[in-house]
Amino acid sequence: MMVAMPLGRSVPARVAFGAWRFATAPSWTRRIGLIGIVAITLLAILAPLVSPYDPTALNTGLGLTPPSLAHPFGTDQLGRDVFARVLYGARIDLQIGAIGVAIPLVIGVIVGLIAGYYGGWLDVLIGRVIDIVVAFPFFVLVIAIVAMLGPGLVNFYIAVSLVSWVAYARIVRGETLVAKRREYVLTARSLGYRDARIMFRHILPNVVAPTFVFGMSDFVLDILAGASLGFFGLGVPTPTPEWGVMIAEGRNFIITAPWVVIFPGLAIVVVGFFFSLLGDSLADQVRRVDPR
Amino acid sequence: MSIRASERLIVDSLTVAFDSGRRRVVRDVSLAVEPGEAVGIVGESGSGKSLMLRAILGLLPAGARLTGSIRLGDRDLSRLGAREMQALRGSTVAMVFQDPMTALNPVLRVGDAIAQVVSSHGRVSHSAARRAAIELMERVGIRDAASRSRAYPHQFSGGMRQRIVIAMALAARPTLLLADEPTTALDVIVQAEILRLLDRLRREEGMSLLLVSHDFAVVSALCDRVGVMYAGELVEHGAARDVLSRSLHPYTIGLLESLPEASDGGRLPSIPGSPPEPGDLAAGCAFSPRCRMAIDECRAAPIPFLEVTPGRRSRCIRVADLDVLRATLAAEAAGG
Amino acid sequence: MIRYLAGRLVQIVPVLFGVSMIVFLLVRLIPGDPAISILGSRATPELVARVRDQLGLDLPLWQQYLNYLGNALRGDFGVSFFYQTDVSSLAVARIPLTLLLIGYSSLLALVFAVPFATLAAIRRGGVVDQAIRLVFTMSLGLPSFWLAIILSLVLGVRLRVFPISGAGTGGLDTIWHLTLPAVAIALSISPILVRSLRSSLIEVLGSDYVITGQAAGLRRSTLLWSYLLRNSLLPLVTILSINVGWLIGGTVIVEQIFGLPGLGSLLITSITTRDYAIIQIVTLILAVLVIAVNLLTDLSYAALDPRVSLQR
Repeated sequence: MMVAMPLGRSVPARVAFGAWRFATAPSWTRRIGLIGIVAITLLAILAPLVSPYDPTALNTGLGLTPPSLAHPFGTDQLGRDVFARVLYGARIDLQIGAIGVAIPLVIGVIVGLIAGYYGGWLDVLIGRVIDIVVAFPFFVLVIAIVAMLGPGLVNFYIAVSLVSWVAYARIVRGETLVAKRREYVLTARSLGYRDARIMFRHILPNVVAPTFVFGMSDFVLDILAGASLGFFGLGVPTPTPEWGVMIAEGRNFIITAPWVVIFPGLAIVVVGFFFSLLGDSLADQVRRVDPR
Repeated sequence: MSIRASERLIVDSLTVAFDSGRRRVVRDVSLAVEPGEAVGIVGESGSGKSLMLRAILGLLPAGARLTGSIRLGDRDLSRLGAREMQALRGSTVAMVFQDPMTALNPVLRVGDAIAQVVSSHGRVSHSAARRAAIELMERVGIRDAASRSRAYPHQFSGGMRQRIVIAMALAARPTLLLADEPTTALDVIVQAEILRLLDRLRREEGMSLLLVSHDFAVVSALCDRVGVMYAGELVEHGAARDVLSRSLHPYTIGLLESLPEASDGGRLPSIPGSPPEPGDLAAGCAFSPRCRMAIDECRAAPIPFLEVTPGRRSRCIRVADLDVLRATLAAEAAGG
Repeated sequence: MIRYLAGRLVQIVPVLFGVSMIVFLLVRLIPGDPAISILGSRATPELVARVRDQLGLDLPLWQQYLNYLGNALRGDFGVSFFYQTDVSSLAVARIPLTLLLIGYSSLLALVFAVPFATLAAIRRGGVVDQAIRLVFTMSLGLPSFWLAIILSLVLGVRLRVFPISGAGTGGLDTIWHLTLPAVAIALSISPILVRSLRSSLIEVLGSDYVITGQAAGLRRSTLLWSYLLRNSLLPLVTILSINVGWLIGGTVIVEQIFGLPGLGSLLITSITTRDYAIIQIVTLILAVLVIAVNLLTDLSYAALDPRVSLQR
């Protein structure tokens, strides 16, 4: 899809073009995934307009009421509307996924490009670092770093950035190793282009597709990690709604008021579902375009 | 001596299509293999020849639709159920595949792999099956068969692996052997050995052979009769000698002229253009876009497969004028 | 084979060093003075100075690392301020339970995932396959902690089938107590297992040698065992090994929820008590576990794949 384009266009233009082609291709998984994600994102962004209640508004008199027309998801132990909290929680959790993917992706792509392109001792060194980081279970290392830095969303992002970049670096490094032997790179080098230019304008667009595929599943994993941290009280401070925190708070009332726990969990599952669908269709596309 | 006499194979109007019938990869092919006879099919990749063999065995890929009939003796193979086909495969009809490097199960010792074929087709003890496997390995020319039977496929060279594939094919004493480009993946010297082996075994067992290849030399070495396939259909058919010396179709002539042996050191002519996509076929003769002798009548309607002389068929309506084509091509090869 | 094993062990050594370095550096991430952080409200200038001295915080970094390494090799990983005992005995005592839980969950995950993956692969493209893929794509986003809570509610509290906390009194009783946690972990990891396994099985099913086997008229049972399953073991082991990190992550979470005295719950409780020494050693042990699993996987390749073990 991206390889076929002429050498002249700018990187952002090509990415946009590719994204457009991708979005409009016929495929049920892709359509459902995209629609789902767009819908959830819109709901999250427009939460202040869409939400019937203030998610932090206490109303202890109405504590733990089951789902009804007035409160479609019921209320929690402090009388707060669960639907509103789920909506507002989407803002935090989607942000967790987005930033949790974006920063490691950028870092990993740059590191991978450099390692693959220059090779030699730099590549060996980076390879070793990757091997070492990969030996740690993701969640364990993230939670250890958060334990050191202190709780909170920013520290979570720092932790994830320190750990997640390796997967992207690995992918890009492998692809770069192959790409740098291709004709278009040899042509560019013979034309005397600077290394950075070759790496970022020529190689990058052709190696970046698998990272987006991985990014989809990484998005889900980051939300799961973030929600888990929230569940253990290491995430956002109350009363900010976040799905993991909501599940933790509602845990004690699960017998009498299961909806407090069920709906935030379902939200996580639903987001995971749409992103996985999108990731699958993206994986198919990448595979079809690049039958090596 | 084989236990059963080989039967006659009659393929009648076989069509294999994909995409709910839109892509016809084998089109209305009819041919016969008499008991004990060796028939060869020559065609480029994509001509449908491999799928035709797979259809006979009942091993078409998912999404394939088959019409027509495949009769072996008095059975119609295309109508048999899974269990009956499994019983037939190996014991009546067997196949030798193209790529020996991937055709063998990497985790099985070769002796065990062959023995399994033996025990799948009769009640034999483990030791009897293993002994039979070693004998088979000796028959296909593997020295030190007893100890080599304990080895794994990756420990053999390509030619040796192909011998093992042949041994597996023969393990249950089939009466009809199908061969799909059996020597294509091997180098020239080994090719000749394998061909000689196939020929010898075939005569010893009294098997019929249906061999498919893109290589005329391979086919003419082994086969009594030859058919030429293009874009899913047979375009010529006859005794191997006749087809080679005096072809009755422009495609065959073009193929033969493009062989390195045909040129006298001059330029190698090749047929311009490439074979059509199965979903994208012209109304008339499939070869007409690339054919020098094509006239309007060729493109108008499907060409029937006519018997020009007894035993010789051609799908070209300009059979009588082919001398001109031959002369032109010969002149080009000499002059260019 | 021995040479292969030795070769792999040599490759591991630098990784182990690197892992220890990262674990060592963890404490340096603490904003401000680690000593103050550890002591919390008990911090007085004298105590702070003593802790700093004990931890060697005033030495240059490389020297601190060498001390750390030297101590580590002697089994000394520091002292827990909370428990007031040495950290290594604390952690090591908890290893067996965590290992048991990991093993149990892996087993359950396999028992659950293999049949579905096989069914989907054999009936590829059909309704069954689509349904399986749909269900397991939906469940990719299942949080293990959520699953654990719901399971303990339904099966533990409501139906009273399984206990919901503690590790029991050993032997069968422990297995009984570990069942719900193991199920929670197994379910949370099975979507990725089913999907990967299904892909591998489809690849094996489409192999040339499978067609050779079919063409030779091999019996269905022979094809299934000798051709399909034997060649799927390798990808299965690979998939398990790749996902062991997620398995461990799930274990950590679930241990805490079910109150199991394993490494995971130790890790999480130590976060609130700022017991950095424990956090370090648990992280180290779990990383070493991952490395060990990878090594075992490589060794099993040698056992399962004749192309590996017979290499000169």
